Amino acid sequence: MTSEHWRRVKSLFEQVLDQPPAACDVFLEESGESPSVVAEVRKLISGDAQAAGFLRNVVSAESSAASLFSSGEPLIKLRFPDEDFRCISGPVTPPRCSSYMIGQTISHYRIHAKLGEGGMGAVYRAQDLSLGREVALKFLPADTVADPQARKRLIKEAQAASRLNHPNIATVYEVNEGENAPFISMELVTGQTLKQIIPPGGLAPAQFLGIARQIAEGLREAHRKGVYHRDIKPGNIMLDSRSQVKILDFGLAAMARQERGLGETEETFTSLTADQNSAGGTVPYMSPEQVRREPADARSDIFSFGVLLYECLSGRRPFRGETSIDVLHAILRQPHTPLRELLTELSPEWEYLVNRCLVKSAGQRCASMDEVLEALRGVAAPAPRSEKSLAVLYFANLSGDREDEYFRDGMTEDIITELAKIRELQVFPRSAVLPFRDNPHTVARISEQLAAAYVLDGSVRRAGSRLRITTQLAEARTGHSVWAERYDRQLEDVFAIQDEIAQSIARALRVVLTEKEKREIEKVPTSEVQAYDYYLRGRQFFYQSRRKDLEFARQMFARAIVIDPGYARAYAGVADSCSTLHMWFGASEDFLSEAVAASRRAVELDPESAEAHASRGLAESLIRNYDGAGKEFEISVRLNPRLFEAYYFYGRAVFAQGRYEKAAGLFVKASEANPDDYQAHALRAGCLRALGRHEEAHEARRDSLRAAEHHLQLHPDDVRAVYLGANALCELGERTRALEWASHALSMDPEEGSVLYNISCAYAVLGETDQSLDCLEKAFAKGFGLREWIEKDPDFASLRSNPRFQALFERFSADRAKSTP
Amino acid sequence: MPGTEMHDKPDGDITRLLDAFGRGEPDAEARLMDLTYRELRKIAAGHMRRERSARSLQATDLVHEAYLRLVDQAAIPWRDRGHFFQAAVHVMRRILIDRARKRHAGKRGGGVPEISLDRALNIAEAHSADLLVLEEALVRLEKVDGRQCQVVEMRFFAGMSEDEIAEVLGVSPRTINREWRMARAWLYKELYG
Repeated sequence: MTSEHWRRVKSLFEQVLDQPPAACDVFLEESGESPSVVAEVRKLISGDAQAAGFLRNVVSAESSAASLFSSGEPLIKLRFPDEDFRCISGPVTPPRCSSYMIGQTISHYRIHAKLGEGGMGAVYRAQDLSLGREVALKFLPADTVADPQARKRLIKEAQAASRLNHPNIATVYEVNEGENAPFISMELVTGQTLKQIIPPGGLAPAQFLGIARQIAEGLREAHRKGVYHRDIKPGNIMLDSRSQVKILDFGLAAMARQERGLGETEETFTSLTADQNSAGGTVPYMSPEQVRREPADARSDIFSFGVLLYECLSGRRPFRGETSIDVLHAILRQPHTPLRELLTELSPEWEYLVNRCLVKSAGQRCASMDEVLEALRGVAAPAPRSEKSLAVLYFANLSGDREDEYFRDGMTEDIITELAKIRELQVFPRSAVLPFRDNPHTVARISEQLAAAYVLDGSVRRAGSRLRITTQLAEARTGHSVWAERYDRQLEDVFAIQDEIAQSIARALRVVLTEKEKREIEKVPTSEVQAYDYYLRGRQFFYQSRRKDLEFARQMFARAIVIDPGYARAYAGVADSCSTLHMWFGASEDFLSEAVAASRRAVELDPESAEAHASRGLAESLIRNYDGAGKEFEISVRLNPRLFEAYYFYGRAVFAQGRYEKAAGLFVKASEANPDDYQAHALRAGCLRALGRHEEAHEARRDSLRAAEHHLQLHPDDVRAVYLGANALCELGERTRALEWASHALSMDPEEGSVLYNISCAYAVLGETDQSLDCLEKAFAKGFGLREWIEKDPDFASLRSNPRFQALFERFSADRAKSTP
Repeated sequence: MPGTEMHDKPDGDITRLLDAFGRGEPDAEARLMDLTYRELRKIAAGHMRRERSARSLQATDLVHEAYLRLVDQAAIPWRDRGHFFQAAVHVMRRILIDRARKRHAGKRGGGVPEISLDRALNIAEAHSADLLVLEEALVRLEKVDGRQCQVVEMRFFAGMSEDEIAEVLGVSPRTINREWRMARAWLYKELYG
């Protein structure tokens, strides 16, 4: 066909298209063109008529008409997360991917079970018959290794990896070329991957540090041997139950499947063309040079390690986007958000290290893992909060009876309280040390996590009327013991022991006690050991803070009072239980009267007790005696400027009076007294919103969410942190996560009124009217709710005109009126 | 969202930048990559608009792969925006054909024992075979009519609309429609007689 011929065909064809279909024949005959041109055009016209659905769109073949060859199947079917691996692409490893493999013997391996299947092919647990050990066998996807050259290169790389021997690297034992497809036998590692354990807000930096260091050690060893990983990501880091790290899949990145999941940015992939230097990698973790398919060396791993650090610390990846192309572009071109904008409390050393790893130009990046490890050492030693900061860990309960845990808990908490009376010491509050209770730990780890200068540890054993306590004080940085003692006494001596411990610690830390402090510490709360026992039981229930627990707590405190009518703390305990029952669970006015009476008595019995004044402040505020409450709270914080409860409930009382500025200040103080608390931030946000300071309110909500996330890492089953977190997410406009958290809270405790009420609020804000009303109805049925509060709660604004809401609220009010004479 | 900062006139920009890049101006490459990215995103967005199903993800992947290859080719002196698009679209065609070829080759040889080919595999094979036949015809078309071949690339491989193609190639949509219909009819007859 000549170009002249083509030109004439084209011209005639275009003219014919302008004719009405019926006139085409005549037009062609009269065109005067040569018969061959006319014949060609006739052919095209008929083609045009038949080809309407032909070549619609290669990549989006949707219906049969739209498909290239009308089969209705997409031409290129790629992998979606939940789809079966085998359907993705042409040649796969046919029999190996099925259960057919189980029980087979291949080479000298007997296959026991399938462990998984992923970008690298199928993985099996198998027995090495010659050595008797258990191994993991990885079969490589056949299409990956169809090309003999590529296959050779891959095997060479895996063999290099097999020379690595390091505790933080999963060892590659053998590369076996196999009959059909090569496989690799490697160390069988069980546990969880880092990917599985990163919570939404990131890991606690101190907790993560040890993990980061181990990964870095493993990488350093490999780099020294000239082996690069090329696919460092949380999914390739395995942690066993003792947080020992194993880096998986060394030397295997180049074997990743060549077809990869679209949009599924987590997929490992290599370039499509086998002749290029395949750089491997997983999109969000790839270094810029990997994206550009330039040769990747140690510095590429360092970049990926930086991405991993960023994600583990903050819970989000530095380079993000809707699609993988956005992510790749971000890696090449966009700066990441500085870590400390996300985590204000993170040390600058962390941020500096991450920034140095994430430099886009390899030449200016951290050059070796030695440098990274050096920087990690700088991160490792956070300055202690103060020279005389002390973490009192929960003593070990050696009584051999779980029943006795309340005693051990109470003892420890009382020692914390005693020590907190010494101004010169900074003692970590109960909530800060709670995560370490019955949790094997080393002094070094505690000091990393809490930044405490000293750690007090010990054990309690109670047998009949005998009490044995051992205790030791260690310097956190060095682990050196500063003081240790063993007490083998009668149960009656329990307070004397507590005093002695407090005084000994003061001496050991060269703190001179003031007369007042001495008096405070020496004060014996009750002369009756049995009363103390009830008191401790009561306090344990009180801390559980569900309705039933609070009722038990009240009874226990009351029994303590029966035995010792002069027991001020027990009165304060009764008062707090009743106040809380009224405040959260809508308990009747009788409880309120009891709270007021008990707290007044507590103050009379022990006017120097900050706790007693705080209890009274709370009770007075609930009967709206705000002046009286304010005075009590002021006395309380004067007596103990670190008492969280005093600031927190003072703040709530002031908030109820609409004095938002003052309340916000008190919530700041509360957060200072207990930096780990998540509730005070949420209330501060409410104050700031009321003041119209929306940006600060937003920040406070972020603080609240962050604190709740942190708290949940340590106490995953604290449902209050979950529902307050859900509320914060609503306010922050993070709808998807808010819904997730809300349903999580409900699944944790579907029968609890406070949960139902707060989740009802969340659903109302999110516009999920039916779900909101369902929860509210159940909350009411559980007797939860304060009428005045519900009347004003801004969260229900969208429901006020809803007939079902109105009916519910009417019935609730009527019930309440009946129960409150 | 990365890369959302938009310039007012991308056409002028890309042509000017290509020019600057050709003259070896510093920074031109980096800016060119931003533009490459943005233009390709538009192609991906076009796919998304037309195709709301999960399969639009495939289009994104294609664009993503094209981006990688274009980053590789940053040294090629593109003349203008039209030329850039031709390159981008041509790359997409290459990617799809490479994949089909590879899959097809895998079927025939590669030492993989074929135990049971399920339906999905049969279909994949049929498709890749057809695509390769189409490619052969397209190579013939390219020899006689380069522009028609481009139009097929843009429409079929890159999923661009006729209006978009017209804009990129600087001709009327009507012309594109004509070119497209003839190319499609011709290819159909080449394949099916």
